[in-house]
Amino acid sequence: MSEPRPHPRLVATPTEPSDDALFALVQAGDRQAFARLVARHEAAIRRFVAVTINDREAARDVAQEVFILAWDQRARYRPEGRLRVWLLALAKNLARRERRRLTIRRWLGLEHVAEVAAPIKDSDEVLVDAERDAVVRASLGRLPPKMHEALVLRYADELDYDQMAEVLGENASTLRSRVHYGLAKLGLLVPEEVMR
Amino acid sequence: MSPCPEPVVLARWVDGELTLNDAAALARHAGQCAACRARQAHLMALRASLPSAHEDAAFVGDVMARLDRWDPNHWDPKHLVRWLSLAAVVAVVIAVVATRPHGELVARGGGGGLEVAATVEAATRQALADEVIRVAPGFAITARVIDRTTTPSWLMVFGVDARCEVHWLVPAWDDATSDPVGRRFAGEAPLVELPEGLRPDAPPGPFTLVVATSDAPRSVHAVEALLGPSADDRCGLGRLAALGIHTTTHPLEVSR
Repeated sequence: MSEPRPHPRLVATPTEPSDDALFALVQAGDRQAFARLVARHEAAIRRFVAVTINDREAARDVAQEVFILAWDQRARYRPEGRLRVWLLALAKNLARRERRRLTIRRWLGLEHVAEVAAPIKDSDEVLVDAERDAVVRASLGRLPPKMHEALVLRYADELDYDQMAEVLGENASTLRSRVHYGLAKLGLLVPEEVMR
Repeated sequence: MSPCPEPVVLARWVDGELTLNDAAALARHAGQCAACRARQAHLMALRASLPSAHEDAAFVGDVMARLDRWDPNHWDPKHLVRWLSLAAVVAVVIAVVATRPHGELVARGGGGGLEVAATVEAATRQALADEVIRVAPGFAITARVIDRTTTPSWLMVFGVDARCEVHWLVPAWDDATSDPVGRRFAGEAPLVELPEGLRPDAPPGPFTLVVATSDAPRSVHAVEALLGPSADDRCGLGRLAALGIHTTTHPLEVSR
């Protein structure tokens, strides 16, 4: 006879502190708490910045700046459970500023367009995934940047339309339409067999 | 079976943004349509597989190292670059505004779809809101035409000075023995920069820029015959209607 299973509510499970709980520590100057938050959100910020800046090194630099700015402006954050939205809004402003700067530098011939490194392939399975990722990435790159940005926020970051509106400073219904047309267009660009 | 939905409707469905009724109707259709089921599965797969960011194990450490070096009171040379960039942009804007052409005068209508923008260049800057554009002696007028015509149309552009003398821009005319007609347009080229530049030897005082269009060719002599001092103080421009010429006028003032 098996042991009776304990009631789930009685099991002590370590839970991750919420963003706001960690950020309260950050606001008191706790750098370790900040490092945990960076680890929690860095992928979303890097992915979002990379949509705007088609230069991996520059995008990485800007993503780092987002967190430095968040630290600098930590007193301004209100704990309303929207840390990622706040970080993405900072990222949008910094990324667009950097894109303008890069555009001017390229226009003046001071900057070359950086090569985007190919994904590393080291096993058959990874190869298939990487190839599928590469096709999806390339197709996303063929969408207008605003459509690409909206798809990333909606499906990769899983924001709702009100949160997207807050990040991008645009109307939620406009963003809805952008996501739907973007997904439909992506569906036409990526062959069905690639996703099977 | 109902017709297959547009791709964007399927995308709304996948996004959970259709009304219950619409979603139910689409589900009924998909139940009978293998192609739509495949398209829906494709969009679902795409939605779920937006590529994540590349792994970057060093990122957190790099941010924290950068934060260690970061000093809120440290003066960052990037700030100077940004201020200098901003100052440069402001300087360029001021330069452009200060040296921009005097104003663009747009005339529409007439012989069917010609939109003429005549640019008056002047030595001095002036608020564009001014109704009468003041120009210095020796000013020039250039013009470009957006041609929206589907049937032939003829264009003439000229100025009338304070003595009711006519200064021709289109056609450029300085040989009294010739009698050219206006320039013909017929939708062949949507945008035409007119090569002629008028630098009229106009006396100080009022100078009326006239854009004239007609459905049939009209000659310089025919127009000049109707113009001259008149009681209506418009040098007889109103008489051109008798030739089927539509006119738009813009008042300039040549300074002393």
